[in-house]
Amino acid sequence: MNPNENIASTYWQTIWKQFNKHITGKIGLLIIALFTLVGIYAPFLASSKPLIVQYEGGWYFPLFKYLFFTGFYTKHLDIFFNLLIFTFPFYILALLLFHKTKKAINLSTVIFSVIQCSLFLYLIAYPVKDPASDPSLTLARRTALKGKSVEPTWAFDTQWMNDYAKLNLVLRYKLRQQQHEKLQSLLKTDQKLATLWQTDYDNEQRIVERLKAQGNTEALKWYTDRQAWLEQQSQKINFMVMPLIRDFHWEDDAGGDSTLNHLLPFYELTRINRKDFLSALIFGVRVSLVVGIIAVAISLAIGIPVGAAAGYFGGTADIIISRFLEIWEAMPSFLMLLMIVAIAQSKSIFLVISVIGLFGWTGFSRYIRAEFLKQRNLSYVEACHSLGFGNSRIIFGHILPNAIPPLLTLLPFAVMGAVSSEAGLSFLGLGEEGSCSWGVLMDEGRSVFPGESYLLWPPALLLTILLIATALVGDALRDAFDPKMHR
Amino acid sequence: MGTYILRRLILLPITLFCIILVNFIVLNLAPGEPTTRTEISPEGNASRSQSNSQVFTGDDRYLQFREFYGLTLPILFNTWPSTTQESVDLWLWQIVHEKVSPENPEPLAFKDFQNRRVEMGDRARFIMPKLLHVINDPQADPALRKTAVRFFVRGGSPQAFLGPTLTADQKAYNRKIGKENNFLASFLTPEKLEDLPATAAALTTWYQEHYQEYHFEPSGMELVSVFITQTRFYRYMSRVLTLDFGTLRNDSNKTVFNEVTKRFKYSLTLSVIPMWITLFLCVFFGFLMALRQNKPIDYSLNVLFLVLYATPVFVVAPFLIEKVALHHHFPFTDIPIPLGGFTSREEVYGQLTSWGRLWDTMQHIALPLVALLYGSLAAQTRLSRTAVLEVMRQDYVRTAFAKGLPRSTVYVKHIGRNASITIVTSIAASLGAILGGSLIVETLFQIDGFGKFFYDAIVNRDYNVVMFSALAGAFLSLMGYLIADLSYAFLDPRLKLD
Repeated sequence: MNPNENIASTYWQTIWKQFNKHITGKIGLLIIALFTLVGIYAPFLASSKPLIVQYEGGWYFPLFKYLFFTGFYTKHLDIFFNLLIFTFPFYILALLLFHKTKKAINLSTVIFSVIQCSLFLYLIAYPVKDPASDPSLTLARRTALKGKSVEPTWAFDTQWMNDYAKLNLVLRYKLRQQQHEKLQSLLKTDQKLATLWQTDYDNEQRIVERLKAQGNTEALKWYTDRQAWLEQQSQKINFMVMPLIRDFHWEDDAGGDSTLNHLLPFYELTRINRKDFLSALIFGVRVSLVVGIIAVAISLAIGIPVGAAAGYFGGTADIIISRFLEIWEAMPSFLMLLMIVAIAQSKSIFLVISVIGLFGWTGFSRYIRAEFLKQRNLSYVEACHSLGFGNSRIIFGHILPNAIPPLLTLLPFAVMGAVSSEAGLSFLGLGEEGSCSWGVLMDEGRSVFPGESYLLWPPALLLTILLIATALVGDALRDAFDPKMHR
Repeated sequence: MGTYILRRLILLPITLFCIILVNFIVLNLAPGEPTTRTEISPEGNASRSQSNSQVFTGDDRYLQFREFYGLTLPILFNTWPSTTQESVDLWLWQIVHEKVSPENPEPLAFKDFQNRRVEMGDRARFIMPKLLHVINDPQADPALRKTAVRFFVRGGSPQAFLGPTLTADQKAYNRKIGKENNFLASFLTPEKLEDLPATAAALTTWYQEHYQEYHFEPSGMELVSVFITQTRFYRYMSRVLTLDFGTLRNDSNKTVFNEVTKRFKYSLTLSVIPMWITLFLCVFFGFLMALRQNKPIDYSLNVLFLVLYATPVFVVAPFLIEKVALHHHFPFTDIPIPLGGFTSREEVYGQLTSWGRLWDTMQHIALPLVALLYGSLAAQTRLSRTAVLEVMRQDYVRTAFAKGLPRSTVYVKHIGRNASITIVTSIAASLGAILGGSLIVETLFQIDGFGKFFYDAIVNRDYNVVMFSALAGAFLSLMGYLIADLSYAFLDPRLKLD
């Protein structure tokens, strides 16, 4: 159908060959791919739920149960990425299978995006239920309690818990104990540490003391039973695969203490709000990736049509649009970003992304406009005109595909700008609250700056690595697309 | 070329106008008006939450504040004079009963109620005849009529001029309206409010005497002029056109313009010096890399500058402070590296001689300069490498070498001059970017320059300063483009931009 197909594919093959000559570019691409994988598979690297667990002879998969539960992953961003865990491999598989024909690649990309987006919307519209709660059991418990006047015992309570509720309790107990012992061995101390396990233990002791003083044997029994049950059940976990790097969910209270930070290695640090630092660092990749991609997509969505209109129609349209571009470019974009985000007062990541996109499209417009001005007088466009094609068909079907490839060289640098803008804004305290964006982490690290800024450097380093890798790819792409370098 | 420059100059005010418009809309459409965080007066009576003052007759200062900023007016267009009698009746009813409407007796949300009150107070001046109609209506609910009296008084009392410099005329006007306002405010005493018929009669007489003077019943052209001029935007624009950028929010004796000029020397130092250093260094490195093209030194410098280009300033600046300055000395000396500030403390700085002051300043700005410099240096060096390579491919360079000119002559006259066109243009065009970059550096290094001023203003929502800074930033970048164009024309006589 398309006679140019062979030529088109060889064009891309040339570009790929040229790109491959750049060692630095290839390293950059590898790093970005690694970051993307870390971003997508972050739950497998850091989560408080095990992947697989054998408990009382049964096999359970808590992490998978909780992947789409909005009570656990409260940000939509995380749900989106968790969905990618399953869809992304299929996409890669499709690309590997059909990479010979351009059409199949395009088709599989479209199918992939449609499936991903519709599944995501479905999950938002019909949220997954909490695996640990079972309405029928709660109801049954209420009816069982109705006739009795005595306090329920622990054994009675456990009767009406489903397996995941029990498992959660046991897991929490076990993991907190593990972390407590780990910290104690790291710090080589027997002193009381403010870990969650210790706090739980102290609280329990206090309640037990009080109940003893009151002589409330029933309630006392409930507590001692519970303690014994937890102790006994945690032995029943025979086999458990935890996430690779960290046993904490980034949104959960990890019970850490930021005053201990100067004694601990970087992988045991604690954020200001007692949350775990390393898992936030891992999930922070997602924020940067999303900012880079969506902000640039918004810029492209505005910039390409505007530039195409200016270049294709020329004349008055061109003059008006060009003046408008000049005006828009003169806006001090970082100041405007800062102002809009500060004034709007809703520190949401999507506001930041859309504002970044809104102020970053002029470069694309200029480029596309120049390209269209060049191409609109070429003979193939005249041929289209004489065939009676409509303007939109000529613009989007014929000129745009020819104008897009050189535009790709701008993309990495645009992504770089967007990512660093977001991080900069967050660094200045205007990021989304309760987010794990690296900029937010750096802002938290700044509070004890200078001197004890342990929290500042890891996110700074990761951000810099990501930005540098993007720049390396951009540089290599530019050379690959430059016909002068092909000699 | 002339027409091109002319076009730029014509575009300048249009651009500035558009920027004011965009900023203005952003600032005004934001949730919560810019004064919602105004619990600032030392007396504490400027807060918004005083419930006993139904139309803010009690908290004058807050009202003055809003009037001063023009916040009592609509944003872009004023259609308030055409408010219908029905809506005035309904709103009065809502304010009295705190319910949605007579047909739908749901309680009004507290926020809506507050907004309704504030908006009614703001509109009062434009709906005076309608309010008077309610006051004079013997069938209406007395509570409604009393509220209408309150709003009538609010609408009939214009605000005095404020500010550090008042002319004699303005002072006379202030005295006059002071008297008028006192007369009107005397109707708000409980006895007068109870005696509605007498109050209504007195207010009607007052209205008859004054409605022409205050333009309470605009018609025809007057209506059009109210439509455009009685708005926040018009107020602000007319002030900006006379170069009056207002005062700081917390101190009405300090004008924004003065405060910025006071700080501008810091920002200027931190922008001009890096610019020159960048110019020289990037030409040097550009030549070095181009002449050694595809040699190890070219590759390594290329990657180095790419890395520097990609490293964000908010990583480098803390790095410089904590890892370089803290607990360290300048190399080969025992002078500690200062952590921040533009100079030493005033007590120390004041004692120094001129040379000592220069030396002191240089010590302080050494690290901020590095933080400001590295990014633009990296970008410009890569650019100048390309520019030099581009020129070296030209035939006339080969000719120049072929006819045996000294290498230095070819480098300076043939290559240097032509490559500098691109370099100088691009550096001049980056003038506007200075603000964004120095904002973070100034904030981290505690330099009280323009960037930090703007950042603090944004955090405190200092309306005038934010507007002025955005404007100044845009003006600077436009000037940068203009200078770039001029230098382009100056360096390249072949150029015809028309």
